[in-house]
Amino acid sequence: MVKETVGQLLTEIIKTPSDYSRVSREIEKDDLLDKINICYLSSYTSEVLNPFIIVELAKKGYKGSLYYAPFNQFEQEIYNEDSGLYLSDPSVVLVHSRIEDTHPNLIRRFAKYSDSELTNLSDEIIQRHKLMLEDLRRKSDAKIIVINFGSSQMIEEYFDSSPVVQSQQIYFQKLNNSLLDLCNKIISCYVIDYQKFFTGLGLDNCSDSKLFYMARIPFNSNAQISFGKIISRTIAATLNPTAKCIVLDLDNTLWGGVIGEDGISGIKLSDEYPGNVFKDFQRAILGLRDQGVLLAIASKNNLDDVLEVFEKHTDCLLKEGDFSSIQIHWEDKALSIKKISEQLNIGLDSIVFFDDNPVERDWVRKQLPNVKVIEVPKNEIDYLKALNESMYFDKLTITSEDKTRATIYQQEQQRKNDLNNSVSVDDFLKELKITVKIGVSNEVTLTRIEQLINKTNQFNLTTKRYTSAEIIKLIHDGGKVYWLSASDRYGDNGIVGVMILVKIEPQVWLIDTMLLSCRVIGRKIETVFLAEIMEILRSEGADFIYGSYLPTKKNVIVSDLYSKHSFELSDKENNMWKFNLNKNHIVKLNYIKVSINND
Amino acid sequence: MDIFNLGDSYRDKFVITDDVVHKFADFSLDFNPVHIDLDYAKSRGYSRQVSHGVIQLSYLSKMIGMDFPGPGAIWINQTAEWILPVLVGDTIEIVLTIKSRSYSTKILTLSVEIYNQNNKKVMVGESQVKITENISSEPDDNLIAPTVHNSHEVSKEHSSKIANSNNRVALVTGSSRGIGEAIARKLSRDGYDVAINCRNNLKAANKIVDSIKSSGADAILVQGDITNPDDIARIKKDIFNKWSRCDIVVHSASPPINPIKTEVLKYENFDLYLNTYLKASVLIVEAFSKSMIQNKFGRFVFLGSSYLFGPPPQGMGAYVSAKEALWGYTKSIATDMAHYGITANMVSPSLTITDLTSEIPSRVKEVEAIKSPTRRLVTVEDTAYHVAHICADYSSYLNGINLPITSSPI
Amino acid sequence: MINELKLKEVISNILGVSINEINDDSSPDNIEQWDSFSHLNLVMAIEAEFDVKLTPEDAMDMLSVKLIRIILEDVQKK
Repeated sequence: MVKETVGQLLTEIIKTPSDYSRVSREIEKDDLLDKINICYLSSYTSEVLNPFIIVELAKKGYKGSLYYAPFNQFEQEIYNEDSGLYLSDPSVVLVHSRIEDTHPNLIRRFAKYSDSELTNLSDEIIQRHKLMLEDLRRKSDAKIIVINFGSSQMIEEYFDSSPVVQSQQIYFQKLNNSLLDLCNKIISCYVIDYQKFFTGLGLDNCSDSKLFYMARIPFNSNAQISFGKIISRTIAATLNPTAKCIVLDLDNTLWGGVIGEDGISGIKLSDEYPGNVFKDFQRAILGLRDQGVLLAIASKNNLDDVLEVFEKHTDCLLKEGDFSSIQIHWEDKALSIKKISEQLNIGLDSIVFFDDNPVERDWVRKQLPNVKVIEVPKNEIDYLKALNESMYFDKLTITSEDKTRATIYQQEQQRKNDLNNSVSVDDFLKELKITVKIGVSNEVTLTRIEQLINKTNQFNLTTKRYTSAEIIKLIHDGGKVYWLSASDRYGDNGIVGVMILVKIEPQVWLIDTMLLSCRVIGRKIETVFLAEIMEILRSEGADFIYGSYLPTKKNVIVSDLYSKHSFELSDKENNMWKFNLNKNHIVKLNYIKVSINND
Repeated sequence: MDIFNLGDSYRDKFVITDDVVHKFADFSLDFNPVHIDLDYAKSRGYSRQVSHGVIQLSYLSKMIGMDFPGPGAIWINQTAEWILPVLVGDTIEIVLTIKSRSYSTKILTLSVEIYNQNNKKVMVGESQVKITENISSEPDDNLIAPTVHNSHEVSKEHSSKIANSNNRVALVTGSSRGIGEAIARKLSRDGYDVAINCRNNLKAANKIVDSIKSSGADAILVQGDITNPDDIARIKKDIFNKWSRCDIVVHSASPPINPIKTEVLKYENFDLYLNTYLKASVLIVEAFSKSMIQNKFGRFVFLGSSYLFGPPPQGMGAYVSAKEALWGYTKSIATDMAHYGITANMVSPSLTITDLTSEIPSRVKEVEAIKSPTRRLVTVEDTAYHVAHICADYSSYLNGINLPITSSPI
Repeated sequence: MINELKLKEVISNILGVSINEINDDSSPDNIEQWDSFSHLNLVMAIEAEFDVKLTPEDAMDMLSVKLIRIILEDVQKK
């Protein structure tokens, strides 16, 4: 984690060489970041990269101290035990010998070589690297990062499809393959793909020939910044362990929509937009599993609803069995993650949390600061990018154990709902700054009220379904229909609650319907809803309120709603509860602001 | 340029009297009755006559030319929008504020706002003014306080007495401006009697003569074209009539120097330079060496150029060839005449800022300056001092040299 | 017109001198940190910050703050 002293600086926009220079000077004064020594061996003027590497490493919590060997002094620095390289005691050594610098004819005059000459040259180049890297490995424990061969300056003058260019590209490809083979045989030796770097930026965006001719600076400042980022990211990946597990939310994360409300046919998961975005995301998650990352779920849902998707939805690529730990219940997610970490026996700092809901993310960040929470973008199209840019899964090698790790843990799944919650929810809810508005239904709100009545299943006490006509009749017959809308720090959720009351006797009312959208479950909004309506009834002279509860498979969550709000059980068989407006104490919350809509 | 800061402002008030309007009408012949006739103006709905809008611009001209930026400024662009009429009897206040300045072009942009006595805006506009530089060797009399003025009496240069214990006389060709002028003035300060030569620039030349005389020294004007033998004869006659001698000739006359690409250079282009530099020198030596031989003393100093060392800049083929030719001649004079006590030498300064070179962009000048070890361009004074040194009696052993005045090894 | 404050900030950031020390006459003569290497860094930073493309001549001529300003104005005009 980035320490406070330069943390502030690093959150500002750092875009130009001038910005980078300024910030890198501040970083050099810092004492709190983890120090690492790095040695850079190159065939060009690598010092220009310094501010970019320093700043990007600092973003990852490191203070880099770089020793730039005099250029083209590879053998001198490696073979000589008293050299600056060894003196600097590096944890990481970068080795970049560019073909443009060592064999410029291979770039500009490729066509002049015969096949046998080409073979000799590539053998010579690889052999040289072999001797250098093996000797370096013998003399130092540092991680070695080799940058492979690319065509930064070639092809400028030639038409891309010319046979010379194509055979040149093939030649470089072979050269890079040989280099990769070589590096794979050396412990802790990794390769950065130089070609990919250039292709990514585009030749026009990298080159500035005057810099090369005047000072052997290989590319322009834009490219230097990108290259600095790649180098820093790779260095960090050699030093940081990758995350071991990703804990995923389900609704609007692995599929579009809410399974509890939209049902299996309503969620977006298909080969058409936007379902295909989620399907591809699932594919990428499976890709992580292939590389040895464990998958887990922390979702507020009904287990059965979820399992149905895994079993029956044809476009759901993820199956129950792909997850090493599943926490599906209505309790808080920090607890879920703790359970996951215990069950899988991995540290909280090896866990990455991916959830589309900012409230949940914030909660987990506060409760479990060691868990890596990805700042998930609003648009699902950007999910993959966020996953990649987080760099938590940067991995430099894959072992066969990685491939089977997930399967090993699969056998230790836990399915029990855990209701023990010893964490302070009230403080968190206070900070959410929830405000709530309650109003009587009218033409404008009727549509939404009808929608909620017909699709809400979980937080729904009686699950009675009405059409708008029936609702209007209800009102006509003396009933009261209220809606509730809620906002919090993150935005407006719109109308999320409905309560319908019918008069059963003078001054005696029955709660016919009470429901809340899944979105706002767990925020005690039901408490303020009840309190407000009870106050209204009491001020009108009502004496008693009855509440009925009709249990279904899906609404277990509200089975204790009345008991939690000081209702007394009046008829056990029929699940009827009673509240005496003149005697019983109305449970209130002071941190949710309520206003009455008088329109 | 640095004395002008963004946001600096200057204001002045002017009263537009009836008299002013009439004077302007007389001058401009704009007798439009709305300006002149009260009844006519009233019939057009104005309470009094309307003054010509350009009168405001005339006062603006006064402000720019005399006050802000002041003398030396050249007005190059003006926009004007008249918002309200200015009537006879109104008082206007003109406010100028610096909006921007460009170092490379030395142009200031000023915003102009004119208000009447009721504080209503009557005109808005924008002026662009070029700031010119003083390129002559004499301080501008108008701008600098008299105490700095170079007066012969207050000069502490006692070298003047030493230098001219023999009442020597010097002719400086092309001395109405630039390097020639600086040389002439320096020699005069050193005590020599000086003949100022120019071809056409009489006004400036006379001014120099007067200035030298007013400092207590002696000078005459000898106008003429030094490539013309008759003019040379006349010049010699005038000098000898006045002083009966001429000990020193410094040849610094030069035509304007215009680069011509070598691809299109013709021999005709060489004529101008060969004539002015080589032919004139031959005529001069022919005319003046006889008396020098008789007096057993003479000094010929020729202006060379730093382009004689190392590669010249582009397009200077004719110029450089002529100077090289002159150098060849200098060496011969030096070899052949030194035993008479006559020395011949050349001084070769680098690019000097004079009116001949004022069109060169400031970037080029600035780069030359910064690349020079002394980080400045050579001035006319630098060259003048070294010419005076070579001319001195004690410099009899300096002969046949081409003294580079370049501030760096060549 | 060159934004003078921006220019001074860039020079300050790249060379590591305080803005107060920078004026028109500042050059490798009087700023120790302005050596041939930091000069190139300055050139690259100026290109990025002012969004201009400089020729090798422009780069080599930028030998004082005054010259940088003059050259930038020239380049921006084109």
